[in-house]
Amino acid sequence: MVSRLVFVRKSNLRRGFTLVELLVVIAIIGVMVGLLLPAVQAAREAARRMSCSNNLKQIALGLHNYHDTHRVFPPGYLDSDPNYAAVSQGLLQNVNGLAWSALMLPFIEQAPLYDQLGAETQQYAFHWERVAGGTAAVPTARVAINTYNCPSDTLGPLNSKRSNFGTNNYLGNSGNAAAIDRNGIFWVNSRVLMRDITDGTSNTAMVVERSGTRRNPNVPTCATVACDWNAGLWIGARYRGDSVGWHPGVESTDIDSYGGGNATYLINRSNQTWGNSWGNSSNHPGGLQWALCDASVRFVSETIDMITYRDVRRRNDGNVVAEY
Amino acid sequence: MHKVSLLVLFSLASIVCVTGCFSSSTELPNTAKVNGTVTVAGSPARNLSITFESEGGQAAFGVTDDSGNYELTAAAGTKGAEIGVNTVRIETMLDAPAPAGYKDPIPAKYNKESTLKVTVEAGENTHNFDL
Repeated sequence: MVSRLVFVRKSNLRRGFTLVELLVVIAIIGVMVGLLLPAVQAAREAARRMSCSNNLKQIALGLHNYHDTHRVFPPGYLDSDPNYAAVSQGLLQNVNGLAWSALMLPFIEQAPLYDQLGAETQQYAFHWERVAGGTAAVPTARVAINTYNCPSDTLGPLNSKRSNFGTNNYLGNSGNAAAIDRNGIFWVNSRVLMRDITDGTSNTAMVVERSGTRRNPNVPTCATVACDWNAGLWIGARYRGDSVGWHPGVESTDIDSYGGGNATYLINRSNQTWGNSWGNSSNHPGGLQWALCDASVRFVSETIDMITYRDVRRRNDGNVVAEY
Repeated sequence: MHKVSLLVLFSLASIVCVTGCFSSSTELPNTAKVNGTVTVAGSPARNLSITFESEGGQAAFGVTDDSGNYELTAAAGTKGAEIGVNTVRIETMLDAPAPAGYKDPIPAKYNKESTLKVTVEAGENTHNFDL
């Protein structure tokens, strides 16, 4: 009896596996590998997107700290002559064009850079691109700040499409349609307080991504103008010796972006050749990320409907924001 | 044998799950292809931006070529526009934002204050516009 049991055990131990079992195991391994391989690149992009959303979070928290200290959100950009009258433009005094992203530097732990910028512009007496009234830009303008850079954007930390000034992939929300709309958070000399965001801080966009390399798919030719997006600059709006269209003396599109309610400013696409330099885009597949005024960061699909997109970009429209 | 059938069951289940992972399409649902020709006073018009805005807030664009033909593209590169009633806006393509005082040669009733509505149906749609 005992010897028989031992024999049975032994024969069980020696038993190998059948062909069916082998094939099943190979099939399972094949399925797993098939699942993993295409996911590797997606995992890298997911990591970059996460890093990008962290940047947005830091910026949004910095803006909140700015608001706590100064009791107001920073102005979109500073301009002593927002309507472009030639007199003060000729003197270049105080037309300093510095953006919200430069003014909030101390709140993202870049206080030394902020002090350096103050010294270089002679306590903000000159436009940052016109040192002492000349035509040279301040050296600080070419400093790369990682917090202002989306790792998915292949443009890099210096914006080669904007004279190699420091890139900012996160543009202030200036509301909808046009520079004159002024129902976002940032525009020329804006002074928006938390209480001005009557739609609620969680229903209003504050900072929105813009790619520096994505191409506008709806423009058939790129012969005369750039038809890909070109990100922004963290330091401020570039100097313009004239006032053309919506650019009163400085290029406001370097620091602000405009939104929905109009097919020219949709996410990742535009029905006009020039719309790409005004709207928002990102290199993340399927949409972009934005920070809302409550400092939360959300992914927004590029198929978000235009009405919702417009409502979120306005701080005081009173409309109920649909789920997006 | 019991073990083997369990394994087979498991592998079949995982194959079904994986198919679920990969079958997601980037194409927008509920769209239909739209193309056509735009003429101004009878002759084909080039370089016009055609926008279809659906009632659900989706936009699809196209640009007319030299012979006035256009084809619409919705979001995510999907050809076509959303099925249903769409407001059509036809405007001139510009290389730069319109300066103050600019007036589009196409009348405002076709773009800014458009009352032009068409219905996009499933399948292929051809919508010709004569302005």
